[in-house]
Amino acid sequence: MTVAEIVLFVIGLLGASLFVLGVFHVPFVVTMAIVIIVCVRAGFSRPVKVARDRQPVLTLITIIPLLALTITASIVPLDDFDGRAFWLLKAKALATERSVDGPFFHDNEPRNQYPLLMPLDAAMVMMATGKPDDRYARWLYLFTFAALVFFIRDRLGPWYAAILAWLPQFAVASDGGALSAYSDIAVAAFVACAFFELLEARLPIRFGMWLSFLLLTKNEGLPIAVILFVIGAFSFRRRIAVSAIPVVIAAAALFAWRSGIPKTDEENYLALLPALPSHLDRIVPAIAESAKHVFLPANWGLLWIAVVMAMAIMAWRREWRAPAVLASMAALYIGAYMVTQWTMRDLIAASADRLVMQMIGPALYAIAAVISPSSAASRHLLPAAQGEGTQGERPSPA
Amino acid sequence: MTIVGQVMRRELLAVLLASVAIPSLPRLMGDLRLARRLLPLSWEQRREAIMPGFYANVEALRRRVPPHEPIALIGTSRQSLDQAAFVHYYLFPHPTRTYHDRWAYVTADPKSRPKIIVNPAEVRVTSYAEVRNDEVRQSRIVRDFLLPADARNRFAIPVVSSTDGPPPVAYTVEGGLAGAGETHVTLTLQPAGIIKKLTIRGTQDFTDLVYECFGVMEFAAWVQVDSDRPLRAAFWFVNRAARTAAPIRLIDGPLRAPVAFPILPQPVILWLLNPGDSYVLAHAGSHSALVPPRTLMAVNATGTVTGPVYAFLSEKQPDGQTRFIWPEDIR
Repeated sequence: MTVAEIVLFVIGLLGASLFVLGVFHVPFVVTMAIVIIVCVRAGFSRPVKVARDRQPVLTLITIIPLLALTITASIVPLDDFDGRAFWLLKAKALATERSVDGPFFHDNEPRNQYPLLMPLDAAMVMMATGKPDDRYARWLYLFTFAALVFFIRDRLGPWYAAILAWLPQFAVASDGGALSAYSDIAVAAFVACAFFELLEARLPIRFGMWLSFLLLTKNEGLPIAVILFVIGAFSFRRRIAVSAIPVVIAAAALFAWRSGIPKTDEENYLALLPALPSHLDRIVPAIAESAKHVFLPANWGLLWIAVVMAMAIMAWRREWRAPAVLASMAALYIGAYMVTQWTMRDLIAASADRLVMQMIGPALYAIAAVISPSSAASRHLLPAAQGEGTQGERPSPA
Repeated sequence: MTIVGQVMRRELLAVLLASVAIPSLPRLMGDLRLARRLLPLSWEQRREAIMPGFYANVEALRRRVPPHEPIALIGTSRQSLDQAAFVHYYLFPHPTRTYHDRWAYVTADPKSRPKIIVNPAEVRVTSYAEVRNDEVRQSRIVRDFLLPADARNRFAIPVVSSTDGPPPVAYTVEGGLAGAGETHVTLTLQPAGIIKKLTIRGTQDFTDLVYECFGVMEFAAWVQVDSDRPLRAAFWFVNRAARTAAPIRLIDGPLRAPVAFPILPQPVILWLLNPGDSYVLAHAGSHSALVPPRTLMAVNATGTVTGPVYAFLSEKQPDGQTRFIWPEDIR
């Protein structure tokens, strides 16, 4: 694994372990010690290095926004909405109560059954710094973004890393961006990692781990994990059974935890799903409203126009995995908008940009596979085995 | 890939990169400018700078309320509920409980609900009556009312109220006063004797007359109005939940002759108002009632009313409307 991949994996592994063992009331400190030992023994202290393109200008272009964000994050206090109202509030409670089902989770708090992976990581930062406060915990979210940028660089090349680093919705959006404490960048990172794992079809257990991180990060993580799992079954074939192990453990822990704490104001999409056929008339408004956000240059530049074109070309070439992942995730979001009991337009306005952030890994891959199939995309681990691109290279050890 | 293909690829990627960098750049620069401006400040001062009028109040609240004293955050609007979430966030682990509206607070167990109430929009300690007032004053039930042409210097509003019924029923008195030129008005809430002096230029509207003028909630009282110039006035008894408004007749004094009110079963109520300064004996049908000075009291409606009092009937109708029967309506 590369450094970026290790950072994302440790973020996921720590949060997931704290959660799963937390359900069994294993003290956070003990879990943290176990995770550290596992990481050291797994060789995470010796990451592999990728043979990089020597493109110093692009590297500089990539680093500029990350540097600017770092300066801002170190001086300007957090002021986003969900980050304070829900995510880091949970982190404060976890750091204070040292339990995933303490009094806080029985006190009619909003979004009570949201998964806790990122709040648990943030709680560890708070515990380590001795400050149940967002001042240091917010770095977790910026590091996640930086790690995702470098992960994309490792996999797709410097152009795509630069594009991601400058994407307004990731870099500067007040809700969901790198300076906020939303969990969408983490979901985007885990989706990207799982997606490339799916393409490479090397380690089914690691694929399953990414999926388990995904479902423990946000509510929509579970259906996205199911989508990736189903598509992954075509890559891993019988070995997909190995991927199922961490997914089942994480899902079981999540459901066990939820059964022990009250549900407050979350919408129950599973219960609303049977009503989908009766809401078919909302499909066009849902797509139209979402498109207004996705194609808004102020938030996305020309990215999604390029992605749609790339998907069409890939479909024409019968390269189906990336289009299938993107289309399935989009269908999931549109379906949720169709059945929601909120005012649909309000929900889309509040969430569409953040949800499509989660598709950034497969989206950038789709562009790379079309624009540079024989160099950037394929060189960065596009496998020949799946018939997508030419022969790929593995990361070369340093 | 050919050289032409490579150039094309770079151009496409450069266009894509430019399309995302151009909208981001000014915002990144704006963030950096903000960071430079905040740099000399302490962390707390930075929070106050980006949350003006909010964070300083949160810290003041933290200092004012004992650490383990629970705080009720009662929302009066969507925006105030959002603010409540942030108050909760910054005060945590100080115990707070958010109530989505005042009814949620009213119906909560009085033994376990927090005693300290905070208005989350302004982050200040407040009272239940103030929270109610904030909500009530957001809208008016009687719209575009016209004041009558006749004007007088002294009159009484025989019944006023500022109270809650079973959730979500809230009673208020809406209306208005208008004077020709600058008019000095004295309103006296009886029987409490609370005085409010107003200077009216043009028309003054009221959404909740009793709380706005006297700062109290009253179930049933009456108001004496005196002014140095003739006033035009009109008031309505409002059920805000039912969105109904019943006009209130303004009076000059006690009944001048016996009034044969109909004998009606409960819930019809006969109201007896003694505007004088001494006890009086009034008769309602076969019953007698000793009415204390400056008091409005309720009895069963048992027929003709005599005595130095003003009297009227009230009935709550199924739609929530209050129907008044005034002596002037009875022939």
